[in-house]
Amino acid sequence: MLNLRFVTMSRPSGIPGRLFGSLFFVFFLGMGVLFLVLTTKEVVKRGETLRWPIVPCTIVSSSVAAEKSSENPFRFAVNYQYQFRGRSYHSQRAELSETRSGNYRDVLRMVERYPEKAQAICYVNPAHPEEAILQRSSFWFALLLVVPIPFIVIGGLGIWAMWQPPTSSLTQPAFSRTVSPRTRSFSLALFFSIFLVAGLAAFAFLVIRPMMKIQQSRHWLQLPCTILSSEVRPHHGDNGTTYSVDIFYQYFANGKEYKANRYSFLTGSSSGYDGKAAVVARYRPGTKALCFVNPADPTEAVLVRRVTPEMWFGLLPTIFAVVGVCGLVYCVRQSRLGKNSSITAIPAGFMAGAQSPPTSDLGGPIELKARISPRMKLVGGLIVALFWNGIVSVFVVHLINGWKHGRGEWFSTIFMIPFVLIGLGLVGFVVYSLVGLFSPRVKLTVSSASALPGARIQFNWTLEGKVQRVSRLQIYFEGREEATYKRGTDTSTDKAVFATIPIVDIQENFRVGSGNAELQVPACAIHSFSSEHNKIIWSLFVKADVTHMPDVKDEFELFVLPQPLAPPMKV
Amino acid sequence: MSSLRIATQLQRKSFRPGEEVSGAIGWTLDKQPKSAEVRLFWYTAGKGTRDVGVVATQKFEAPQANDERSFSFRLPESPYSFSGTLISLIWAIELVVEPGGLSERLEITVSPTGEEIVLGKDALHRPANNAAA
Repeated sequence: MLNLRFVTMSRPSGIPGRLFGSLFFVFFLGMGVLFLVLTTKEVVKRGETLRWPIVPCTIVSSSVAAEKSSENPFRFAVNYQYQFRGRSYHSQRAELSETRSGNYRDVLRMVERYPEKAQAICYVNPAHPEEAILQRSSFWFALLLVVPIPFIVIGGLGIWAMWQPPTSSLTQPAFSRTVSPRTRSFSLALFFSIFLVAGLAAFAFLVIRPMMKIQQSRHWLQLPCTILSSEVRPHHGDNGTTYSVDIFYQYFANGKEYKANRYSFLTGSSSGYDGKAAVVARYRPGTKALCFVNPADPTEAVLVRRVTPEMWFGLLPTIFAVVGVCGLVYCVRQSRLGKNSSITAIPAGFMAGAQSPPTSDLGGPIELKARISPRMKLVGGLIVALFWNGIVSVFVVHLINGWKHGRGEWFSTIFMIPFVLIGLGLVGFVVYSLVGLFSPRVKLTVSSASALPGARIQFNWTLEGKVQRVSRLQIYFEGREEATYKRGTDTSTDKAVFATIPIVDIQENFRVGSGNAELQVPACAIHSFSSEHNKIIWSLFVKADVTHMPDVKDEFELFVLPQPLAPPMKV
Repeated sequence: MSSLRIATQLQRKSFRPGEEVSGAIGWTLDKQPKSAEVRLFWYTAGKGTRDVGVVATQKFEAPQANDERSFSFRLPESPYSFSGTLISLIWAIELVVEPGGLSERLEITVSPTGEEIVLGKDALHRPANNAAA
């Protein structure tokens, strides 16, 4: 006879909590809706121009207007005349929004497309015939409509979920409902893909593109030019001011006068001021210089066609690309693991988790590999140090420049101190790991890499390298728990040792070089266990105290197996 | 009012690896559910993010609004139920009824001794083994 247990569960549903949650999601929804409305208005406005009738027009005047106060100082100044419904009109608009650029050549192209006295077509707003444009704006802008959708969905669903009445007092997530490792790998792969794409895109823009231009410009004409103006142009942004070299020069090609303002093939601005000021000082207004002009398109010119020091900064984004590649490789490996042994389905009679004893364990003594080799430690440390210091250095350089020019920021400087200290710590770790490569190496051979509780494992060790510097050698067997968890955006792993079994402790140098010993796995030892975030690990540790060098502490994992099931009884 | 019920044979809570776990489950709902299934699984609790391993699942055909069924599972040889400083591994049988994601869970212990293994207590510190250098 079975007794059934009756359970009733209640779901907490405090009004203040719901209100707070709703407020959070309302913000999400509001931001999304606001962005969607503004973008839609702009798209509709651009779309309306499709219905504007095409009318012939005459360009009255067309030139590049320079307004030094603007960050995009060059403006396409145009005036054209057209007839609509029997009346004559004038317009100064080339597009719906003003046509401006920081690059003189972009605007010059417009001037060349719409020269004075030329016949062109324009689009006239039939409702307001005084409004006309020469060009319709790009409709790629409509792609921005996708951006606010995730915000609106998250916000809307969040508010809906907050105020949903509980369907049943029993509703609670089932513990046994899991996300497959492949789904998790896919999400992670998406995250790392963004890193990779962003890194490659930045690398292409900052390095590949300028390099290709340098290569192409090898056959350009070398012509004398006159410097018209020369200055360091500031660009004010949310994260402080950046600077760019702005040299405006004039040259003659094929008997025609041209102007340009491109200094090198690397465009954009950065935080350093002094270097740019030094460049500007070399090109004083009124002086003569040599510039390189594209013979196929004389509007295209450059003052310096070699690799400039700023271009080396273009290598920084490769760190992001490397992180992306490493992450994707990890995801692919995880996904393959998920294919072969999902944690959601364990074959009966097999160890839990993805890890299994090495197959090479079947044929006698085997040489174990350390869980983390000194080389892996160095490479890992180097990647983390480069990544961390690469990002921190951008802010540090900006702060140093600020102090050098009397615009030091106390708050930002103090704020950056812990980040810099962590970066220095990472550099210290890399140096320590590098020196550690020259410490003695451990070779460990065991009779078996896996054993049942109570079983014995014979092993022998050999130290290679500077053995004479080893003052003490300890070998011990250790069992520990490893729990990985998320705290905010960080993933941490905590470790707790629950058993330590000393095996070897030698303090005479002449005995440390090699030897053999026996380990007896405790009869009551818990078996090894490995799931995605939680592990029980049994390892042999070889610890060597090395004089004047980093100590050696190598870990060699062994597998403690569960007791095999008794064979079924024969009837 | 909805309710889910789950019980093992003789109300046993302790099992050895390889043993059979059997019992009965039942539910009383306002309307007929679309699906009902019982799962044998383990999960981790403690500091680490929870991992779950579903070992076996038994689905019930044509579930009624008020129903009672029996189930039977064979336990694997591992993992054992254990508890440490950071991690606990807990075995359970769970009844899941859809729609609505209704669930009820019954925890059991799986180990060779029939008791949860407490880490640090069972893995004793031992004297140094023999070494020859």
